[in-house]
Amino acid sequence: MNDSNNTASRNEDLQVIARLRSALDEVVEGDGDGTGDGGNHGLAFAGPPSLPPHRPLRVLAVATAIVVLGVSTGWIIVVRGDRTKQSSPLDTAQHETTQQSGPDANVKTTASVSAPTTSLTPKTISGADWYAIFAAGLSPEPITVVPLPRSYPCCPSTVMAWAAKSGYQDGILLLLAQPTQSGADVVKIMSFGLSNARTAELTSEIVPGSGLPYELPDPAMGLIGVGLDGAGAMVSQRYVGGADSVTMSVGDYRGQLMPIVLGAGLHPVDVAQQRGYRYADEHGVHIVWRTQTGRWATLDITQGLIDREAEIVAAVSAAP
Amino acid sequence: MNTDFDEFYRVHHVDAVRWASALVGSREIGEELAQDAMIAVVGRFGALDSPVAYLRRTIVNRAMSWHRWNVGERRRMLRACAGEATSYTSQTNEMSHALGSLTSKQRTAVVLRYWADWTDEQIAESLGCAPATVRVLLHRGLAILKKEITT
Repeated sequence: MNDSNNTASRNEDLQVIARLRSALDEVVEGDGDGTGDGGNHGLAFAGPPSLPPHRPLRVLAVATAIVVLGVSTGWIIVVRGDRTKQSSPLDTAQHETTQQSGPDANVKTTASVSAPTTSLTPKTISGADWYAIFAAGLSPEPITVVPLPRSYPCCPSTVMAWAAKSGYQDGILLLLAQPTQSGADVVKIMSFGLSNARTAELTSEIVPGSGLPYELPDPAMGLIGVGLDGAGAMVSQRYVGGADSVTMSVGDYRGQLMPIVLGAGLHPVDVAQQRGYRYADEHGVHIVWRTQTGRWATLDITQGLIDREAEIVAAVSAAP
Repeated sequence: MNTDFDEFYRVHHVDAVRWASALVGSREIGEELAQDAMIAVVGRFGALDSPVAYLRRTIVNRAMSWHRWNVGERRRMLRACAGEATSYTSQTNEMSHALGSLTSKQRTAVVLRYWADWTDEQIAESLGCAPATVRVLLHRGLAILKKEITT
């Protein structure tokens, strides 16, 4: 009797485990379209990795040729050619387009600020830092995880940022790698605080990586951000004050430094005991900073609250 | 060191995403956690005796942190934003709900043992407990799942 009970219980265990595996296969494999296949458990581990997430494998397999197509005031556009692939008219068309669109950037090259600082802060969200704002008249809304819309029809662009190890004021280099249907990445390089010659030198050092999508093996530069533009999610919280608001967001690097490089300049500000950088646009004031865990925080203050900017920035503190 | 980490990343990143996705029940959040964990590994890669073990521990810890954070209203809002729960099959949604009734440690142990095929010892190291404790977590976790699924 006991044996039959044990056998029945064991069978129930196995059924639950089978359902668990099937369900988690569906979740892990992906897109939630209800096509999960419990029978393929474990097989997906065996394939070559796709790095970074969402990145097409063909991009990782491309040859290392980097062709400088245009240089103008610190903006260089390069195309990483795919030598493993047959040349096609579409490839040629893409290259021509890139050459035409190259010399459009407007990059400031001088600034003088002190070096960025970091400080220990508590961690609450998946090991990342989080911040709260305690300011009169600002009511916090619930924290949300906001999926970012895919901004490209095929695949999101890879964005990477390096800064001089001596401080951001000594140079920032940004990379935007946009996959194309032809199989090659169109890679744009933008710099801040670097001469044209130095920008070109660093660009020539960039190589495809097998772990990170690209690497810059220059001893004077350090990686400060890597992510996908227009993909993934940001943890965000809005504080409302009348018709205006302040929004605190933390997430992976997604080009948060681009406005600085594209003309806003490097204007340091201390926020939550860390060094942030401020810029303004038609929507208001924005402050970005790199968190202790390597993520990026953004504080957005709408126009109507700009006169309280100093007070609001001072009210930002690391969440316990 | 970079080359070593590149190789480590190449070999283990897919597993990391899968483990994290299974632990939090979302591919999207799993990718975030895995990327987070890889960043943690690269910072101390040269000093680690076993980067894989450290990666496992980091993923488990961050998944549990995420579950602690993702409670109540936040969970509801996440689902509303992500719209994931309704896009899976009903059986997956049911299992998802059942997993939600486990404690964090029970869920971690059950997912890693019965889905990711980790050993009791690997789970114990990641959770910071004894292998015997893992077996208790598995026993109780599975019992709760059976009850949730069959009722």
